[in-house]
Amino acid sequence: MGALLSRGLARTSTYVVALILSVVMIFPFVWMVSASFKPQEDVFAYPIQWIPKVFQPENYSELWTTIPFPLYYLNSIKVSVAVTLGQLITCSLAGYAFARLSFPGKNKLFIIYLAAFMIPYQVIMIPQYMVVRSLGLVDSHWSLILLESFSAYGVFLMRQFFTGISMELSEAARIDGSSEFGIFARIILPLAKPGLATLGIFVFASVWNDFQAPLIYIFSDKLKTLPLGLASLNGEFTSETQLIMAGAVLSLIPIVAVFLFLQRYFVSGLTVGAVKG
Amino acid sequence: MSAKTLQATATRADPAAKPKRAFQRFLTPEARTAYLFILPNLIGFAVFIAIPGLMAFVLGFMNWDGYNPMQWNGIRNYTRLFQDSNFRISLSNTLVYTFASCALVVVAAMLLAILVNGKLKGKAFFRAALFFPHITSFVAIAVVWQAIMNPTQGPLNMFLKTFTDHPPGWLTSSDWALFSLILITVWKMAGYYMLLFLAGLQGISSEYYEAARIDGAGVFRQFRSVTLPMLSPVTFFVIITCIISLFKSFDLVYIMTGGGPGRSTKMLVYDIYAMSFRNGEFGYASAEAIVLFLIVLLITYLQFKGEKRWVHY
Amino acid sequence: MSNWYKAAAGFALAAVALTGCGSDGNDNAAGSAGKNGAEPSAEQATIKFMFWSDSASQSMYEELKAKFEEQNPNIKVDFLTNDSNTYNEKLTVTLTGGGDVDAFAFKDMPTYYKLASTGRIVALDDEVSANADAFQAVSQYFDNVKIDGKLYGLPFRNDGWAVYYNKDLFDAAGVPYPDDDLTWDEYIELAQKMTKGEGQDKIWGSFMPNWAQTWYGEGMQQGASWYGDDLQPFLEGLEHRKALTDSGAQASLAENTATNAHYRTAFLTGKVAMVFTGTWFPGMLEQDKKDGKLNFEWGMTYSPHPEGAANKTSMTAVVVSGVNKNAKHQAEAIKWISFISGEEGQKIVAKYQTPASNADAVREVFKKNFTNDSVNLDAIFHLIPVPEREVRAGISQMDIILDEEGSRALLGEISPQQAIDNIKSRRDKEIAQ
Repeated sequence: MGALLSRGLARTSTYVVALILSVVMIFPFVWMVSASFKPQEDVFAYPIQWIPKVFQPENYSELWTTIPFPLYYLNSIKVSVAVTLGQLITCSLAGYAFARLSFPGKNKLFIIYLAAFMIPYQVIMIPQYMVVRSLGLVDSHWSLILLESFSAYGVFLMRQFFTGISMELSEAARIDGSSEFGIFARIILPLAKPGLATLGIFVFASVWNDFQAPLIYIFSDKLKTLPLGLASLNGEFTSETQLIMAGAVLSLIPIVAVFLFLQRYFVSGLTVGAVKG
Repeated sequence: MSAKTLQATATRADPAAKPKRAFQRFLTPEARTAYLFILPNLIGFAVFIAIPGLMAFVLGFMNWDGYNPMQWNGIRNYTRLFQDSNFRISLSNTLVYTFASCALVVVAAMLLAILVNGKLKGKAFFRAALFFPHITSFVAIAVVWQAIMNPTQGPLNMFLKTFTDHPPGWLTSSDWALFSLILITVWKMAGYYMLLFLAGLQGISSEYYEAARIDGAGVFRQFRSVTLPMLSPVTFFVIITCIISLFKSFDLVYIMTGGGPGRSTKMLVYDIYAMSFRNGEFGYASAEAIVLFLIVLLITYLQFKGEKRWVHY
Repeated sequence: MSNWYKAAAGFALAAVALTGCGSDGNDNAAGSAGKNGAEPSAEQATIKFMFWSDSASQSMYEELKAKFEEQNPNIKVDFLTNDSNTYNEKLTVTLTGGGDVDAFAFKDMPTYYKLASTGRIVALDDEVSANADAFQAVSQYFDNVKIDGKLYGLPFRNDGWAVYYNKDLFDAAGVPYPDDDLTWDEYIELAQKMTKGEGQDKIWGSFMPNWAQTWYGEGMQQGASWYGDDLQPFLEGLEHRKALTDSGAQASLAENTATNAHYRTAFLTGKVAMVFTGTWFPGMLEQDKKDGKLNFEWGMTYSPHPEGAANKTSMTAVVVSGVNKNAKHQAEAIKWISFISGEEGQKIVAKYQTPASNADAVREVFKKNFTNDSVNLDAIFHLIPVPEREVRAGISQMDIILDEEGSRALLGEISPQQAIDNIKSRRDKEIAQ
């Protein structure tokens, strides 16, 4: 009886803590959603009106007329999906080699990858621009897709996941005569789903919200991505915060969708994969 | 993720040590496959990251205004750095920010992961909620934090006023601005690293906990003797990547404070950025970046050195 | 095996090709500029012009383009736009990475100085002396933007500073409107007089943007230089600015930062008696009137001036456009920016912004933007101009130093005297090199 009670108490307190933390984490979003329904002059009015005094859903339709919102949205989806796929493919292949195959120069190459991860982006911006320009890719979506499809972090992360999967699985398959690519694609990759999901959501979110690369490489209006579009609501003398907030709320939708879609992989899979070698 | 991590890399003898044997290995089918696997990534990596990185490294010894021919400047960029008060202040701010944020992020992320890993109804919701900060555009969320941290009327200080008459000035005070950025960083990053810890927790077999329970271990004892050691490879990965990415922090400063008030939140990458893009001193900025790079390299190296003492595979 | 070698060879080739191309980006561009020479070709040319976009300037440039292309059927103008906040970075990267743009507007003087002083922009002295008449009306600003005696940018917008006041608040308080000759002491006194109430109902006497000019402008008005020995005039400015917030007549720097406060929004609430800001403000107020957001009568007068400086002395910030030295169509690009700064172009600019031209015909156009007599054209056009920034080496570092040290003083962390001392010592250390 007492044990039951204390377990019930423990469970309740877990809920309470989880709930409080979730509220704290979500708090800024409530502000965001609320501001997106306000007229501009009320956005920074104090004390904060959590429920807008003047309810102005027109902000959302105004967003459509002020900037070509659907076009920017599509551009963002195109680039984010392409980069995410690009990283999932190239980083998992490279990560697999670093984790599960032996070849000369492996350690040195890996240290170079790791070192590259330490260089701040702002430092290579100019040299990178020269490279992209010499390839004739400035002002195209290709510049964004190619630039971000080969991250050192992604290789590092995938390598970590692949090292955790038992070597015996590969050896058994090799004895059965599978090719290395077959082992990778049919046996190991399905076991690394949590890794792919983690990398996928990370890449998708960072490309989706990336401001700096599009800022530098995109000139044409028709190629601009969502963050650039939202930034253009900041004029020389004014900024339309309520519209930016409406745009930010709408821009959350695909990432939340991706997250919910990938969510199950964070849980499943690993218990099977973690047969340690 | 019960990773074997980098220990292998750090300690295993380099297979290319003996040239003749290396050449033979070069030809093994396994090595060929490995190179083919790496190639797609390596080409892009070399072209878009490594080559520009090398160019930046060379720039560190040059004088370059971004247009006229570069001039060899030897180590003068570096001697100048050590007399530059902006560099000194940025460096100390960066160190404080990075280590404080990283410590808090790791602890918070681990606790969050344990919290939502259990048999919790609606854990999908909680996970999504905790992960939310990571996926939002910072451009938008920066405005929100400014409003929340408004020293006189913001909800944060309204709440604190029930405890104290003098709540902090947050982003508008030199004493509190850096701490404010640390708080926001923890808020933003904890959810992402929570995911990594979650994946790690999934990999711990429940048998370990059962065994511990039979030995009469309580919740805290189980945490200390099962969770913590079993999670250590993930923790190691998280600490390394967290420190590296925090050293490179830029958006937060650029969007929220511009380095102010005064120079209280000026950090290295922001200073590098200002040096190159505002002042047009690309050589000097690259030299500053190289120093930053060497510091991160040293810290990462020390972590690999210390790895054996606490990471269990 | 053969697969591997093919791949490796391919990669090596790619790497070599890239390093090669990467370094000769500049040469290519320079070569093409050389080929084109200074004479406009009879063939069709398309020039790329870059500016920061907001709705007002977008329509302005569209109209300029239409007129220009009508007069120059051989030249087509293409626009490249970027948002206002990050415009300088974009321009810098574009020009540094090789330069795929022919002409551009400069958003601020530090960027203009940086690009001009490193030889990336065409000097326009020849063009200007060859057509002296056409540029007569904007020539009064040439000296402000010359670098080592050479002109790299053509002025097309110019804004001074002025005081805008809410007539209804002054009427209600029974205080006479600010007169046309205010010293800074008088301004502060007036602001304090107009300050009333508490909390939500508080009426603020004054509002200023957080920019450093709002305090160091007083030094510029006295003809002081940040590079000189006597920084006393700037100290007076900082003390005045601090007195305004310390006395509660103006919201503090901390408060304004935290609330993202903007003079336009602040003025529209009807709770601010006076706003000190640039002369682009009347255009905004006119728009707000049309949108029904402005519910009171307003007036404007000259910028306050320090004791000892003549009335009507005002900081002015001129906006210039320039031409890329590596432009593919340099002559056409010069033609385009000359058009913007010439009389016809200025008449179009005047419909949207404050023109740089002092020609009467241009000012007539500007006047038509306003439906009532709230706007005081004299306070916009008849000023004794002093430049807002000294265009010289160290300009961008100085901007940062002034902002960092000034804001600490205004936040009460150091005294104004300390701030000025810090500025002086940092100037000597950081800019001397």
